[in-house]
Amino acid sequence: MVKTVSLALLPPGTVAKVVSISGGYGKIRRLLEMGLSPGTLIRVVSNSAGPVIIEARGVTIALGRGLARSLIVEVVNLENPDGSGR
Amino acid sequence: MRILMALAGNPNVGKSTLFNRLTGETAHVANWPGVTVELKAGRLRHHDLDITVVDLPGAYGLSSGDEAESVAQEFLLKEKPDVVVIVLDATSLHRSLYLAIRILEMTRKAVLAVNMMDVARRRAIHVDLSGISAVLGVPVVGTSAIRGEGLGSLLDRAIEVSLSKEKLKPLKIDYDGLDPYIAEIERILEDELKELPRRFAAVAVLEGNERILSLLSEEKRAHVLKIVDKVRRELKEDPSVIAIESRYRFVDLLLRDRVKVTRLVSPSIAKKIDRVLLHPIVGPFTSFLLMLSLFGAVFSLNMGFPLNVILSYAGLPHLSSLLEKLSLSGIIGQFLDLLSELLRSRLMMISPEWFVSLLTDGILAGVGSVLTFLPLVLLVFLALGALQDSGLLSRIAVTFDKFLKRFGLSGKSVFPAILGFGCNVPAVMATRAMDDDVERTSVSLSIPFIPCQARLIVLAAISSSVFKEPVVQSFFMMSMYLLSLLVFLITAKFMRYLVRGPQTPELLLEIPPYHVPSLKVVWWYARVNTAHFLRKAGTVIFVVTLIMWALLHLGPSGYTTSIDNSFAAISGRALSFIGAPIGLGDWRIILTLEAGFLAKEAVLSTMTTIAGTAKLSEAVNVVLSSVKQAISLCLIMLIYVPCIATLSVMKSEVKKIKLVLVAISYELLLAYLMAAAAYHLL
Ligand SMILES: Nc1nc2c(ncn2[C@@H]2O[C@H](COP(=O)(O)OP(=O)(O)OP(=O)(O)O)[C@@H](O)[C@H]2O)c(=O)[nH]1
Repeated sequence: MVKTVSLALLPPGTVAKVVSISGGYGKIRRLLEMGLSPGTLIRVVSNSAGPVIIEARGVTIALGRGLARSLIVEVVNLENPDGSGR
Repeated sequence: MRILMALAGNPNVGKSTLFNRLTGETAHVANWPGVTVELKAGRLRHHDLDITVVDLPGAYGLSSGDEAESVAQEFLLKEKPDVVVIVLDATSLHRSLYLAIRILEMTRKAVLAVNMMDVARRRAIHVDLSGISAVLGVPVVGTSAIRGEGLGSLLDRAIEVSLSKEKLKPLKIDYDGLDPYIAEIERILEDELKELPRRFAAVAVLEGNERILSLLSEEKRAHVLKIVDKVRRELKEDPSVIAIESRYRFVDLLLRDRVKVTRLVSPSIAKKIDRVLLHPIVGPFTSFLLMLSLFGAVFSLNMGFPLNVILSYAGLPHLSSLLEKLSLSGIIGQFLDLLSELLRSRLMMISPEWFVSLLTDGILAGVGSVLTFLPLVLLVFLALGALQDSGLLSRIAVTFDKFLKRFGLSGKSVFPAILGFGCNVPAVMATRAMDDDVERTSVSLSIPFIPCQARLIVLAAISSSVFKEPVVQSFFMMSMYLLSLLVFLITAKFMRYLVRGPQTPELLLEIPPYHVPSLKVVWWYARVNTAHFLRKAGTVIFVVTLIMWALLHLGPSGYTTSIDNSFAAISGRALSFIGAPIGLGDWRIILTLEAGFLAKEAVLSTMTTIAGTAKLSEAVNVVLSSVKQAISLCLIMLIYVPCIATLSVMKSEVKKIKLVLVAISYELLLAYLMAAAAYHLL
């Protein structure tokens, strides 16, 4: 049983896997182009009131909250909050 | 209008990705009369032009040995596309450029797309695109086919090239020892192979290009082959080996000093910086301070502002005026004054007065105003380049995104907005760092509402002459600033709404790793942008300054020394009925506003000219008779048209003159309404 959540809800340090992208074609395309296709592992670097910052495929990416909400992920594990290690 | 565009490039540079990006669903396989194999083709529309895109097979060169290479060569020779887009890999430019120069030897109707820019950025590989473009004589655009970056400007350049009537000679490579033989063959080919560029054909046959040799008559072919043998004998090397080496030497030379790999900041330090910069509370604060000090330093170096204000508040007026004198624009100004004095005293005796005035107040002043902007633009772009190159720029943009989103702006608009307080000209130019075209346009057109330093000076002069108490003065200035800012934000939002509807852009940004900034890379960036300013805006500023000279110094009876008789004064009188409802019915005030179009400081200098006094506060009180009038004038001055320098960069950035005209009408109308409201309600 896997639980899926939106990226916008994850605390910093979380490692998760992209499951799907909800939203219109434009949104899906933009996220795919950034390399955030289903199956991609991501790590949340920071998530506070502003944009969510994640690391995926060795690239750091900032997403506006609206986009972060459309990225549906499955939590892989919770790390120590400062996010060191993988 | 149909345009045939061919995509050429090495295998794996991202050509197919680019092709699919450009043509979308329209791709199909098509036959071309000149080529034996089928090629992928697709259609696209851009700026109302119908473009057919053909994807040529990936090739490393054009020598006919390999199937893919001969197909590419055949297509280019037979179909003669209107433009060839040569796709290069930014991370292995060496090999990519070899093919590029092969094609450029054949035709210069080409654009280079340096692809994989995203990968290059990540690996801290920097490419001087404009430097390469200058050597090769074709446009060079950075792209990321996979991200869709740079494709708009790639298409724009490609269309420019294909519509251009200019007959550009193919690129000429120096073939060292081969050159005399090439010349000999060129003579032999005199009236054959007419449809091929002469030198290209000569080199091709010298290299033993079967395809092209087969086009020759029996006799000529024998003749050419004899020369090939002669080369082998005399140079003890196969001609094609020499040719390939020469080309690689050309590429080496081209890339030397034009590619720079900088150092990445160590991950542990990067993490520490990020912890501060990306912190939800500390981050914006730090970013703000960083920009304030960086741009503050740039502006202070250029015009003394804002350090001069700080100094005089700190009770150091002498230091403050010394700083103004020693600032770059101060030095340039003094130099031009000196030059103009010298010219005046030398020419006064021997030439008519109007000529001296045209020379000094017109031409020299025009050159001077372009000249004073030049170091400013250069320094601002050096600063922006350093921010961009180091990786700070995108982090700062992220930090401000949340705040600016409320006004329909993205984080990157923070740079033009802050620069605007110093000077609107580099602020409008800084919109180039923004990715979204719609936003670039809407911000460019809204920037003039940010009160620049020149407007601060006028505001300060008027408020200190009209209001007695310092508290009231400060309150007045503050409210004017806040009002302007509010107008800026609302306008930006409104413009965006007009173009795209209510939704605001969602941030999606790759944050590059921190680089140790390289002076060379920053210089490339600043050089391109400064050259652009000089070419596009410089000429407009100069010409309009001359026109303004004519308005201010000429009247119905020709040249006049008294501004009262000038065309500007006459139009001021004619227009005074417009000013009347807002308390500015005095033609002299209209005249100062006309002069303010030149540069906002000119509002003050015109007032002193009209009043016939050198004392500013006296002059202001001569022209203005009530507080209500002063407020009305300040509002008009802040909101109505920006100076010509700003307008000319707006035009060169936005590119559509119609939009600029709409913006001007909007500004005039808004200024008028606000002044009317203030005049009647206060
Ligand atoms: N990161 C990045 N990858 C890209 C870019 N453009 C293409 N790629 C990738 O590079 C690989 C090769 O791209 P293609 O478009 O197949 O290259 P091609 O030049 O058409 O190659 P051939 O089909 O062999 O001629 C693919 O995996 C693309 O996804 C780019 O701009 N950035």
